[in-house]
Amino acid sequence: MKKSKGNHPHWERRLSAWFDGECSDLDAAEVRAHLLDSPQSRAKLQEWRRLREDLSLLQPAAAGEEQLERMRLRFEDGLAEEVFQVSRALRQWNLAAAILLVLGLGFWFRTHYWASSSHQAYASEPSEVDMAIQELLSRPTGRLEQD
Amino acid sequence: MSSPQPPPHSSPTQGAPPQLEQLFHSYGAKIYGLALRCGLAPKDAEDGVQEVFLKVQRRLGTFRGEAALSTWLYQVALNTLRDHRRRVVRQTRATEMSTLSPQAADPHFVAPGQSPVEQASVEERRQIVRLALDRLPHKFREVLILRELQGLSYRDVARILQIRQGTVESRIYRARERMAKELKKLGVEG
Repeated sequence: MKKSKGNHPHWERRLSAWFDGECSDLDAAEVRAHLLDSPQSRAKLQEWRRLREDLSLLQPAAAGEEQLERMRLRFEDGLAEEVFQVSRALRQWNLAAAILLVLGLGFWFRTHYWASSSHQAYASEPSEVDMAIQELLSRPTGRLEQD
Repeated sequence: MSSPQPPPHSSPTQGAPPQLEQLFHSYGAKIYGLALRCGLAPKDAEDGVQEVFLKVQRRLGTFRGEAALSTWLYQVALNTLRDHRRRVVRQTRATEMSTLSPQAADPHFVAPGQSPVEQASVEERRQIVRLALDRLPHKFREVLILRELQGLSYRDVARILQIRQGTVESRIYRARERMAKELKKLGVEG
């Protein structure tokens, strides 16, 4: 295989994978052979090693038992709060549905039952006052003058 | 009318469902570590962990077993922590307080035999590295965190980020190059 002496990105990507232990045995052998021949790649490798050391400074301390327990309780608290929020939302929806149902039924009664009962009121027998007025109005005019 | 109060968490009959509790037991510390590695301060990281597991609880039904549970969990965690971090950064800018901590790493850790001057020097370098990492575009930052700090394989990184393994390889290489440049800009010789 022809080896590149330059810092070709193709080689650097392979070098990066080799550096991470993520290439096949065949690839690893080729990269090692390339490294013998390429001081630039060796320098690049050194740079990445320093970078890895630098990044290791950011490794956090493991969470302690007490801290994990606190987080677990917070999570359960959050879960309970979420369940509560959902059940409250459901209750509000139920209430809204009940109000709508009552309003709908009221409207239906108003348009059907109440309207027909009003019609019956008009069809009822005339009261005594109505009959007296009717009788008064039907009297002949001359008789009224005589009276 | 007084509204009912949420129930307290301390009742023995309450708590997370067993499956979730087991998940928290197995992965709580790892997700917390991931939150710190993503650059969140300890308090924000705890908030982040809570948010992650609440999201897991909501989405557990959508897990179809196509990937390992840990991979799926990391996907959810990474997306949630990314959003959480964005919110924290926005709030930090708004309040001009330093909520994002460069001391995500153990601030009390002192290598044996280190003098105060050496400690200060290490701390300064840690802050610079944190700053350089924060300056990377998130796609580069994430691969470095997952690979270098979380120690995941290329295959796992590919599954978590839902990209091809070859893309992980080239992205890690480019992330290293960017990180080295950022460190040089900040005055750290590689």
